Amino acid sequence: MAKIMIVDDAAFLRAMLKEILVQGGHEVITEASNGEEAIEKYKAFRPELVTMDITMPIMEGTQALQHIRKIDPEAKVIMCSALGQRQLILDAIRSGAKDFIVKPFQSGRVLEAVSRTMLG
Amino acid sequence: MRAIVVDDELLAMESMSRMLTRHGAEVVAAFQNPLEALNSELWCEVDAAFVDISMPGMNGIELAARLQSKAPLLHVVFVTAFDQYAVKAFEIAAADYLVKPVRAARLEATLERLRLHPRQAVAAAVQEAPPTLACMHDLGIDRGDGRVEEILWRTSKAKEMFAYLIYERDRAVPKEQLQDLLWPEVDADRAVANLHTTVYQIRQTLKSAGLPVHILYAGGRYRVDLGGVKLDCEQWEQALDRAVADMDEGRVFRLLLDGYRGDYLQSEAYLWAENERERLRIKWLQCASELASRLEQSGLPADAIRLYQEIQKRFPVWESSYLGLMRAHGQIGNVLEVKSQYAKLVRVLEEELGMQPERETTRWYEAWAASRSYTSE
Repeated sequence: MAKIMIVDDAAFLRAMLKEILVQGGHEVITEASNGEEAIEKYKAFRPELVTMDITMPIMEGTQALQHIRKIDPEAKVIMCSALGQRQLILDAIRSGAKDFIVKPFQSGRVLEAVSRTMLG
Repeated sequence: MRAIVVDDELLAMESMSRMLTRHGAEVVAAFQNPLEALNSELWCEVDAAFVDISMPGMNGIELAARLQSKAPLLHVVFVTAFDQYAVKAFEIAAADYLVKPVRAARLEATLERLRLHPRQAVAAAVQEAPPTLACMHDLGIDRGDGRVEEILWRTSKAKEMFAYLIYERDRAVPKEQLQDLLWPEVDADRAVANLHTTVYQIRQTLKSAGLPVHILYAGGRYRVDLGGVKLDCEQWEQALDRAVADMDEGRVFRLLLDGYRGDYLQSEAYLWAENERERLRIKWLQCASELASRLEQSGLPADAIRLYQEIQKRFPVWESSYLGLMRAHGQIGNVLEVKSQYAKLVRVLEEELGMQPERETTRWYEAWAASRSYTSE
């Protein structure tokens, strides 16, 4: 079980992801709807794992990922993207993302990525 | 009720006019010459025309047909000594058909009918059915014939601003927000000028497209007034919710396959529309997945296959569509298709995500293969 922060600008996507994670036995301790908020909440809540949407207003995901990795070089971040955002995913992996999941979320894939990241 | 009488026989014309007056109608004019009648300026003010059919020069049916394009809402009642014209008369949407000599009771019935459907009510009904604004796939107008007519925008900014105001339809949007959205790199004065030009262009476009939608401005904010125009995405979603609540599987099936014209504003790929696009896509996916598995369980593999194929087309890495197709094809003994679905899944996942199928899928496939080799031995 992991303490998780969900970052996505769409509330319905956060809700869907939360349901999958909670059903998989994880705990969602906080949520953020853009990159800036994610950085603030990361500092305040210190989640064990972050799911980070790539495309968001105000500050996009990869930028927030870089900030979070500066605050905590051990931070475990999984990127969420749409199919066909291969370049953005590669950039994020290079910036230290541990794994990625594709929207729309498939329960099995999400939980698989979470346990892989928590073990690794 | 205001009426015009047209009959080439003077006596018949006068008698019809008198009868109408006696029954409470106002006879605005009476013509013996059909051409003169056609050229009259009075048609836009009357509710009904009582027209003799056999007249020299132009018969009543031809006159009525030409009047219909002049005054589309006019009720035409044919008056004739012969009833072999009846069929022809109703083809051009006659309101009624009177045979001479006209009896008072019969005329009263006709007038009663016309009073129940007065011109104004017809006009109101026509105005009450404005076109639908299409937002699925691309912006366009659906005038009720199911075809989506393209809207000709002067600039792509005008299109995007209109699309955005439609997206925010319940909210008045501050003009600064529109400037930031459309001209983020431009200085404030220039952006204001651009905004004004663009609003003007949108209004012109809406007017020439005959769309009763208006852009309103108050207190530094812009808002769209839909003027009764419905949005196809809203209609689709409401219809789908209703069909799901009614457990009307046939209707859900049709709404998923034919009713969903495309993703929300898909052709323009506006970033601000992404969440709404995703929300509708996921709604489609959830409904389709649920229905497909229900169809499969109710022993309707062919319909389930049709739906799973559509899911796969729209969501190529959605694994349960492959598993669903394998199971459904397995049910009808289509061995080749089961194998090819599994192979396709392995290939697509490798190419797109560098991943392998989930354990559940592989386990099903191996069990299926094993049972086949067992039965074939």
